This record gives sequence, structure tokens and C-alpha cells, in this order.
Amino acid sequence: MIKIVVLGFFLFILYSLGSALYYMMNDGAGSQRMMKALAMRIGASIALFGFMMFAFWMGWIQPDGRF
Amino acid sequence: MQSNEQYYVPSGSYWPMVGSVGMAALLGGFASSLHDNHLGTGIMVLGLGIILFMVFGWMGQVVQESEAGHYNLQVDKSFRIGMGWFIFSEVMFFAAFFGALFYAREFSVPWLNGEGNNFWTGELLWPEFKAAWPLVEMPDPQLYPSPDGLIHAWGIPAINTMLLLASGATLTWAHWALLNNKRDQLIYGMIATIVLGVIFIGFQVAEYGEAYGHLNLKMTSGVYGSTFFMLTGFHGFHVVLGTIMLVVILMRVIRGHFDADNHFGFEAVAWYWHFVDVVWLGLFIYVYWLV
Amino acid sequence: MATTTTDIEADIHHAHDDHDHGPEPGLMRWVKTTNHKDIGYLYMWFAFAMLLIGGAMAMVIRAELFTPGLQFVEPQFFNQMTTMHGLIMVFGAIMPAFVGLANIQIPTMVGAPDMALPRMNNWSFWILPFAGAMLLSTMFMEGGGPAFGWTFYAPLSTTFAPDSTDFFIFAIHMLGFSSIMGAINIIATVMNMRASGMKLMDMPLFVWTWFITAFLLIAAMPVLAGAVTMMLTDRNFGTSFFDAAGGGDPVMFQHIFWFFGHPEVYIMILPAFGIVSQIIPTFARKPLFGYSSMVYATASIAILSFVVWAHHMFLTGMPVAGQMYFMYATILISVPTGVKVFNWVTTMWKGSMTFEIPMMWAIAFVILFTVGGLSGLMLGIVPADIQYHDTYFVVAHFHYVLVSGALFSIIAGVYYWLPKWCGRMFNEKLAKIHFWWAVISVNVLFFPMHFLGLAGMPRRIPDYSLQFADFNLIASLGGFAFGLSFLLLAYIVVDCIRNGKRVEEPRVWESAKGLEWTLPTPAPYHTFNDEPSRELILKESSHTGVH
Ligand code: HEM
Ligand SMILES: [Cu+2]
Repeated sequence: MIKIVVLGFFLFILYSLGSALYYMMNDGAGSQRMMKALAMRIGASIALFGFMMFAFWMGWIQPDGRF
Repeated sequence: MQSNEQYYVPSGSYWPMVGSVGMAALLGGFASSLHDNHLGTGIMVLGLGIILFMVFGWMGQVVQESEAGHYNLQVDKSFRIGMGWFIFSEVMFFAAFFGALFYAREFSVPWLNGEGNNFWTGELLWPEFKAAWPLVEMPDPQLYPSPDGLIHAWGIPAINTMLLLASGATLTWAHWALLNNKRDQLIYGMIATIVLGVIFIGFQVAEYGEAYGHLNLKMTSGVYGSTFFMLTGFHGFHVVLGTIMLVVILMRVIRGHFDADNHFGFEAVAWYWHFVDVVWLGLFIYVYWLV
Repeated sequence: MATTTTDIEADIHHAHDDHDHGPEPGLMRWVKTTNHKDIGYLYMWFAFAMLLIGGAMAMVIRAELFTPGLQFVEPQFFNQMTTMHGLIMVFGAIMPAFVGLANIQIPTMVGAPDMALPRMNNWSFWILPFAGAMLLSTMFMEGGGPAFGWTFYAPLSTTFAPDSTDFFIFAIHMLGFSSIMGAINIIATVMNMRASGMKLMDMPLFVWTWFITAFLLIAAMPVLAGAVTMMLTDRNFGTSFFDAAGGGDPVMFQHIFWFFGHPEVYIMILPAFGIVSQIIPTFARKPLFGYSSMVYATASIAILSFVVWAHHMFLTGMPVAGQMYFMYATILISVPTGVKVFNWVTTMWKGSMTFEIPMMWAIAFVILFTVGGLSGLMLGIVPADIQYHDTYFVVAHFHYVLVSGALFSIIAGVYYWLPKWCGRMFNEKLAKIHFWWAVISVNVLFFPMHFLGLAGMPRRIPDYSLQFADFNLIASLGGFAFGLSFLLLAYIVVDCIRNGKRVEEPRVWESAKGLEWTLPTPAPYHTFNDEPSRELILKESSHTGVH
């Protein structure tokens, strides 16, 4: 379950990063869409990181820690 | 002859030849130095110097021509397409190493323990071996000694993640400023991004020091160490490159280059930085967290 | 040469004054050039030089295999020959020749003045001689050159390889870098420099196939770079990607290699499809049959080529489900490939065919490539491949697709476009002799290898048991004859450039279609300064235009 959420977030991040690239190539200079896509991707990344901290705090996930 | 003006073909240039010589010297020197050829290191450093000379000379010329207004929209678009697909090739380069990590985790390590139809592999090669990930006890501990510890996700890696995420945010802030002609905010945003990048690199160096110095976690620590250092190493290298490019862009901004609708250099570097940031996020999840 | 700034000025303003101002005089022209034709010619000559070097190595191999027993060379040296032959032909001859053709032809075929990124174009080429020299230099190093086969499987290339392997690794890095830049340039040219009146589905097939090939290159070459990088660290820095003792796996090397390797073989055949699709309509005097199905077939071959790689590894002990999947996926590829063959045949069907030299090569391509495709099908079937794998049957297969396929298409393309490039016609009588000589000898060379393989002769071994003697003798004789035919080719080309009969007609082949044939002959230094109109593009289309 957690895996799926993380994966979903990650796919969305990849998607927004990719669309920013697309806008960069096709919109010419000063693309607002590119900037927005990048903003979206950073937002999603921060949310994902926050979610992982939360999941750790709740004890849902463990880092590898074998030592 | 109006239609002629739509095309721009640049003049001839020595830079590509300089670059080729530099590349051959760098790599040839490196290869010789790996085999105790004392000249090798010198040639390698020389090659690196030539390449840096080439990069700055070539890019300098391009910037000059661009600022002189020689480029038209078509050239601009060619640069964009070139940059976009170059980054795609980088994605595939990282994909090879992520693929190796995936293969080791999902296939080769369990198989060595006899999983699936590999019963005899486990029995005959290293019967003592127990599969686990992260792999700390190698099949042949003589050849590949175990590390004494691993880098914990909640230590430096988490801090580094926050640093890079913050740098992505400051860069977006700067990007927004550029689009809205807020030069001061643009400069502050870029400086903040660069500072965060440099701190990231510092932490990364410290982490490597910790791994090598105290944890005995090295490239030689089996396939875990191999993938760990290969992925984080190439990522770190890209952060260094990205930081240098950001510094160059910052200099250009300070000199008054770029405006709200002419700033391909900025966009390319910004996108590159976001890309490097996403690679890190993938690393953080898959290498450190192993969800 | 201290005139860089004036050069820039001149170029910026060339639009206004002399737009056919020629190249810079002297040798520096070739070093500094940003002209797509100059760079293309450099590529072609480089590829031809490498072809001769790689060919000489093949002659050593065939001499050694002329009779059973060890004749001339040490087994270790024999292995160096097979390895270097493969590497040089793939990375030094076939790929650069196709990039060269792309450079010369694509701008003229899409109505552009030049490639999109001309300076980078120059760099893509000038890396090659350095990389080629580095690769060849390994042969003269202590411990000899690489001897582990062109596929450089670990651990042969890691634990058991000579020191020179590190130079080989960096040569591969450089070659890969060059191809990636070349591919980026082609993509940018097609997307951005195309005449505005030319829609994607108006593009000639050579442009289409190269456009798709360029994506394959950008996706596949970095993976190869990753593979050799891991090899480098395994060899020198103690990593264990490909060493089971540290939890890695030598089979992982094969997966990564073939993830690159299979797309790579299509990188070497898709542009060939394009060339043949240009030539056949010209001499059949009919529009290309099934243009859009050709485009879709090319695209689907390209996509499928990334999901079939393990058909090279059926014997490495993969799960049965894996074998089944890779078998069916492989056989699926032959569907779009078949579509192409049928389209070429249908284009010729009821055409008013004439058999000029390029057409003869194109027809030879269609027939012989199909032979190679059929043996590929046989190899794709797991139970059969268990028998054929690592025998001469595989050698026969890939030489039919690569030599009488890719290489023949390059020769066809050169004969087709050479008069346009230099404004002179080659000696057609000699060219006819060359054609029959090459076509007969190539079959004498490679066809017996099918039988050798079916009878079980393993590849990459300098000696063999007696029952293989006769076929090997025949193959060697064919090999020497085929090798000689390239000297004739060299003579024909040089003779054409120097003394060939002048051609003034823009349309060198009376029924040829395409924008390149609207340019004066020989083609001017700067290609299109004025964008060709949409009417002209449609009229000149080799698939819709009236012949
Ligand atoms: C009809 C489509 C094709 C099929 C089904 C096919 C199938 C195969 C298979 C199954 C093998 C592995 C044989 C073995 O090692 O046991 C193979 C090897 C090979 N194929 Fe093909 N192939 C096809 C077309 C091509 C084309 C178009 C090319 C190149 C232009 C090509 C180049 C090669 C090469 C170079 C090898 C040998 C690699 C090596 O082991 O050194 N093939 N093919
Ligand atoms: Cu294949």
C-alpha cells in the first residue's frame, strides 16, 4: 500500500518533470507552462518526502537499519 | 531574398577538434594511469584542462553570439531540442545503474541463495550464503569483506534530501522572478540555490568519509557497495556540474543577460537541476529506504 | 585562420551577398567545417578506411580457417581478430557510414540549409578518428588487444582480460558519445529544420527511418556506456557488478549488453530500409507502395526492439516463462519486417523496371536480407536455438542481415547519390562487374556457414574437425573474392570523382523523386537557402508524386 502511494507520487513527479521538458522544447522562451510544471514537481516531491517522514513516524515503514 | 534570413549557419570552429584532443588525452591518460604508467596521470590532467578550456571557450563564443543577437528563434529551438534529448540520454545512463541495482536486489542475490529454480546454484557455489538486502555478508567474504555498518537514511541522506528539495524550491522562485522581471529576487533565488547545492556536496563528501573511514563501506563491499557508490557517485558528479552551470548562469544574470522572454540558458540549467533533484529522490527512496 | 570574427560576419551576412560562397581553402576546411556535406564526406571516408581495416582482419580469419588445424596465427591472436573485426565493422564502418549518409542527405531531403547544430556535428565526427585509433592501439599493447568477442561478456572482459581492455572501454565511451551527439543532431534537424511545407507524413522514408533510428541511438547508447563503466570499475576499483562472489552476476552483464545490443542491430538496419525505399520507387517508376505502413512498421520495429533482447541468451539458464516470452516477442518483430519486404516487392510489381546499378544492389538487398531474416526466425525459436546457438549458423544469420543487408544498402546508396555529390557518373560497366562479383562471392562466403552451423561447428574457434573442411574451404575462397571486390569499389569511386563523365542534369536518374534532385548537380556547398514550397514538396514526393 505504502509502496503504491510512493510509486504514484514518483510517477507524478516524473510526469511533471517530463512535461516541463516538453514545454521547454516546444514553447520557446519564457514558457509559463514550463515554470508551472516545475513548481508542481517540486511541490509533489516535498509532499512525498513529508509523507515518508509521516509514515516513518507512524511506524508504517522502516529504513533498512540492520545495525 | 527575404527568405534567406530565416536560416543561420554558424562559422567554422576549432573548438570541436580541441575537445576531441582533450577527450582522447583525458581518457587515454586515465587508462594508462590505471596500469602504473606514470605519464598517464599527467596526460589525464592535461586532457581535463583542455576540455575545460574547450567548454568555456566554446560556450563563451555561443553566449557572445547569442548576446550579439545573431541567433534567431530557429537556432534557439534547435538548442532546446538538443538539450532535451541530451538529458534523455542521461536518463538512460542512470537507468543502466538503477537496472543493475534492481537486478541485484531482485534476482542475483536471491538466486545465489537458491531461490526459484536455482537450487543447485545455492548448494554448490556458496552453501553458507544467506540472501539479504542490503547485502552485508557477501558470498565470498574473503574477496569482498563486509562493511561494519551502513549509511542510515535518517542521517545525512534525509538532510540532503531536504537540502535538494529546498534548492528546487528556491530555483523555482528565481524562475518565477525571471518571468516577472524581478531581477533582485532572481539573483537571491539563484544564490540560495547555489549555496544549498554546495552544502549538499559538502555533506555528500562527509558521508563518503564516514563510509570509508568508519564504516568500512566501500566500493569493494560487494554489490551493495558497488551500486551505492556508483549511483550516488554519478549523482554527486551531476550535482557538481549543475552547480557550476548555475554559477555561470548567475554571473550572466548579474551582467544583465536574459530577460523575461529570452533565457534559454536559464531554462536549460533549471531543468537540469530539477532532473538531478529527481534522480536524488529516486536514490533516496530506492537506495536508502528500500521501500 | 585568424579570421574567426570575420568568418562569423561573413556567415551571418552570407544571406545577403554570396550564398554559394565556397568552402575555406586548405586542410583546415576539414578540421573546422560546419558544413553538412563536408562532415558527411569525412564520415564516409572514415567508414571506408575502417571497412578495409576490419576487412583485412576478416581475411586473417578466413585464411586461418581455410583448412583444419592451426595454420598462421595463435589462437589468442585469432580471437583478437574476431573481436576487433566485429567491433570495427559495427562501430567503425556501418554506423559511421549511415551517419555520413544522413549528414549528406537529410538536409537536402527536407529542404534545409544544413544540420540543426553544425558545430556539434563537426565534433561528432572528429571524436571518431581518436576513438578508432584508441581502439586499434590496443592491438599493439602488452598482452594484446581484446580477445573476448565483440559482445565482451564478463568475466572474459573483466577478470580474464588484458590491460588494454581499459583503452577499449574508453574507446567505446567516445564512440557512444559521438553517436549520441550525431543522433541528437538528426532529431533536431528533422524536427526543426524541415521545410515548413513538409509535414511529417510527407517526409521521404530515408528521413523517417533515420529519425526513428536516432531515438534508438539515444536510448541504447547510454546503456552501453553504463555497461562499460561498470566493467571499468569491476576491473579496476573492486566493484562486483558482474562477480557472483560479491552478489553480482555475470549474466547481468549479458542482460545489460543485449538491452543495448538488440536495438543496436536495428540501428544498423533501419536506415538501410530507408535507402532501399528511396531507390526502388525510382527504378520501378511507381510511388512507394504502402508508405504509411512503412512508417508504422519502422516505428513498431523500433519499439519492439527494446523488449526482445534475451533471445541472445536463451541458453544462460533463464526460466521457461522467460524463454517463452522472448521467443514470441522476437517472432512478433518479423511481422513488421515482413510488411516491409512485401511493400518493396509490391512497389516493383508491374512497375516499368530498369536495372541501373543502384537498383541491382537494392534488389540484392531485398532478397538477401530476407534470407537473413528467415534464419533469424529460426534462431528465435527456443528449441531450435538450443541447437544453433554459438554455431556458424548465427554467424551466417547476422552476416546476411549486416553484410548483404546493411552494407549492401550503403553501397546502393553511394551508387545512387554519388553522381549527385560529385557531378560525375561512375563507370557503369565496371560497376556492373563489381555488383556480380560481390553478390556471387558474398553468397559463396556466407551460405555454406548455414550448413556448418547446422552440423555443429562452433563460432570463434581457430580450428575445427575434419568434417567441416569442405565448406570452410568454399567459404574462405568466397571470402577472399569478396574482400578483393572492395578494392574494385574503391577504384570505381575514386575514378568517378576524378575522371567520371560529367553530369549536369539535376535529376541524375531520370525518374528519381525527392527534393535532393531539384538541386543543381553537383550539389552546391550550401544546400537550400530558400525554403522549397509545398507544391514542390508534394510534386517531388517519392510516395505520392506521379512518376
Ligand atoms: C527477422 C528478424 C530477426 C530475428 C527474428 C533475429 C533473431 C536473432 C536471434 C534469435 C539471434 C541469437 C542467435 C544466437 O546467438 O543463438 C540473433 C543474432 C544476431 N542477430 Fe538477428 N534477428 C533478426 C534480424 C536481425 C537484423 C536485422 C540484424 C542486423 C542488422 C541482426 C543481427 C544479429 C546479430 C549481429 C546477431 C549475433 C549477435 C552475436 O551473438 O554476436 N538480426 N538474431
Ligand atoms: Cu537480437
